Amino acid sequence: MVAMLKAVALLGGDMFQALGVHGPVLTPFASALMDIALVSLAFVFFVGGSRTNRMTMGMLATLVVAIAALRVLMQPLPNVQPLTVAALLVGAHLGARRGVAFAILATLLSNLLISHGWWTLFQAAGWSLVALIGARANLVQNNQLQLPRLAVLSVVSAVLFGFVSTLSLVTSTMTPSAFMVLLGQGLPFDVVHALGNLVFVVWMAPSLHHFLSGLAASENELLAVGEVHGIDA
Amino acid sequence: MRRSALLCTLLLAVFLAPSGAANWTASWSVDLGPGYITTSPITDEERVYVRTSGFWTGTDRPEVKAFSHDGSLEWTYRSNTTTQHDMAPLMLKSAGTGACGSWPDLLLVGWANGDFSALHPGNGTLAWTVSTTVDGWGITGAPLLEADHVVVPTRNGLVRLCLGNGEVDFSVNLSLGWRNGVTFAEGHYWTGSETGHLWQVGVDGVTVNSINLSGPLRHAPVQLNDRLFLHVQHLTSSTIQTYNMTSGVLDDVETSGGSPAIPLLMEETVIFGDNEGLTSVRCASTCSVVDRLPTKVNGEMASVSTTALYAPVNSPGEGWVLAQLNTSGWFTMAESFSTPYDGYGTSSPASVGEWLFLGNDAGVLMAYSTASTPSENQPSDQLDGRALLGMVVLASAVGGSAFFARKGAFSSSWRLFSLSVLVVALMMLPEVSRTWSSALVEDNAPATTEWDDSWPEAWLGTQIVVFEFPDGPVTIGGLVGHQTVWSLTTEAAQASDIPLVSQETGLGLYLLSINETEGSGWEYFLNGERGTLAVDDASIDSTVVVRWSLA
Repeated sequence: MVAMLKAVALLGGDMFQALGVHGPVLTPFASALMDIALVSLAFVFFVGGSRTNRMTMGMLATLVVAIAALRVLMQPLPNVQPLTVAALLVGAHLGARRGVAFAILATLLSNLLISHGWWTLFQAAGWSLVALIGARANLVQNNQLQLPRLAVLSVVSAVLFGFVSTLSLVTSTMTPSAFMVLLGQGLPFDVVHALGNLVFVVWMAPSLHHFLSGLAASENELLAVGEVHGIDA
Repeated sequence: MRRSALLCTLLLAVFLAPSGAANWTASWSVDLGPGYITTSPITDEERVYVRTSGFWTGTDRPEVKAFSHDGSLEWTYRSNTTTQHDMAPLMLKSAGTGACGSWPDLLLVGWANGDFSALHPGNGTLAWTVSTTVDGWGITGAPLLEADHVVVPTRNGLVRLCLGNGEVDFSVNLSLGWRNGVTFAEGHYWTGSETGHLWQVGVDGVTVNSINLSGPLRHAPVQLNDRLFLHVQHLTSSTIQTYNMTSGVLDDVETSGGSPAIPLLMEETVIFGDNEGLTSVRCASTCSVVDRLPTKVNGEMASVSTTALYAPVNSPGEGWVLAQLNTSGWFTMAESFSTPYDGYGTSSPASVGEWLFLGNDAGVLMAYSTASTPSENQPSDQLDGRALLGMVVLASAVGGSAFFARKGAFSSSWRLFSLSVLVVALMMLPEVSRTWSSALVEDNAPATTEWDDSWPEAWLGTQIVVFEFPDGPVTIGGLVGHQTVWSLTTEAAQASDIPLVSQETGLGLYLLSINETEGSGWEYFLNGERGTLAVDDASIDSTVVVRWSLA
């Protein structure tokens, strides 16, 4: 239950009772379909990406579990989301496809432990968008992490993620002005999300950058000696 | 830079250090039952008198009780016909003689069933009683004591009674009122109403004037010189206004939080309370806000000196706040007064001699004693350990950040600084979010939009709750006196034996299940419009339909 509160707090705490959970209630069958669709999509992006090998897959899976666990641990802190900065960095190091796969899997896994529902779809979309931004933003240049750029993007990502996940609350009867109020009510939580991201940038990003750089380098080395599992275009 | 770090630490220590707690010692307490203590206990040199509210289920009924200062029950007076919240303040009147006769010492009690009773404080027997209009509820506001009369705000107007025998001197119909005390100023009586009027009534009981306000007025106007101070209620906010009795001009002073408290006059400063905290207002040619103190005060306040006041904090786990202000109206200190029964509360403490008596919605009367009454000059002798620890940690983090910057270790400096900022932001988030949401939300639609013609007419003008269960709705109406969605929902559920399960969170109270139905969450609608605040923060009008639906 606390998980659900947290999930709703993500969208603006003071409206949480009013909105119950955010979005329509899914039947078990619909929920299973959504899970299957998300996992399939992640799998396609994961193994269908360029130059994927077993070590990369294993390490990335470990990272998914670690970040999901960190998100669950951070759950008592409203809208402090380690996944955002991680998605930016994974996108920057391993590319858009695997960034999106990471975002989907980490969202799904953590939400299974926190609170799972219709909103998972939108949160996964939000963090996938963040991973795409990370992949396109030249955050790593000459193997050096561009911390100031990452800091700015982490703030922008907080706002974007807030917008995308708020879309899960849209109903057929909701007016544009009501949606704007909804967005406005989430603003304090977006600010906390952005501040949390900045904390993760200065505390976590260098280590994560080091880890992901090593992962990318090992991938290249394995390719050089003929490890070809999972090679694709 | 080192000096800067030291200065920074010292400044934090000065601004964040908690002030000393008053030296009160718990003496005794008594649980009065399953209801509330909604209005302040009152005391004389021998006893403390307290009234209960909300005792009308089963065989329980509201009562007035008298205890000796050492906690012995002396007498109980029970109202068998009151079935609504009793929140009219008790009043004591010393024996005297006037134009309309003589009277002994009296304890004056207004009841939600419309009765106004005069009791003998010594034994709780009835001296006289008068019945007034009941429309959903009866008397809920503060009476006004005069030389040989008492003026009582009734459900729909005012009556003036002779203290000697309760004989009605005049009775005047105005408009529906609730918690609307009466004030005498500039030769007239002034009282507010639920219809958004400030009524001016002559001493002969003839209505002189009515001034249109922007919402209900639920307290006795506070007079300072030629002005009346008003705290007008809106659905999620309020407006502090002044009415100049000479010029007839109504001025807005400030827009503030919802659910206004009963204002308190302290010398030349008027203190207002609401969901956003305490606000001090002073006037020269115009009136303006001097200072604000964030807290949540929705009931009564009581001064303990010319510059110190107690106010109940109407939140779970909170007790009372002791605030001190200087002669310019600035709040100079605020400290929490906690009890073992902290929780929702609207009644102010009462003090006499070395005794302090408190009660709240927990329904427990508590007595504290001390050798010295707290005053603005009392030195600090205790510190809140957690606040002190937090202050030290925060100051250390900021100081450490400055230290690392001085050493050129900017990475470490940023780490500490960003973490400090995040911690402060997280601490501020609930209050900021609440205030921000309130500012964004407009007033709700009138209750008439949700009225169902199949409902009893007796429910008109009252508070109604609809639980929409999968197997059909359950509707409870005719409720009154609730200021929040949570309070109203709780009473409606109790009346229908519907269990509620809730959870306290940093963002407010969350209702987990109703009648053991959890679904994927419950959401509420106020007069057909989706609620936007946590249930214990969402204030409601005296006429409202709260509808609970599964998400």
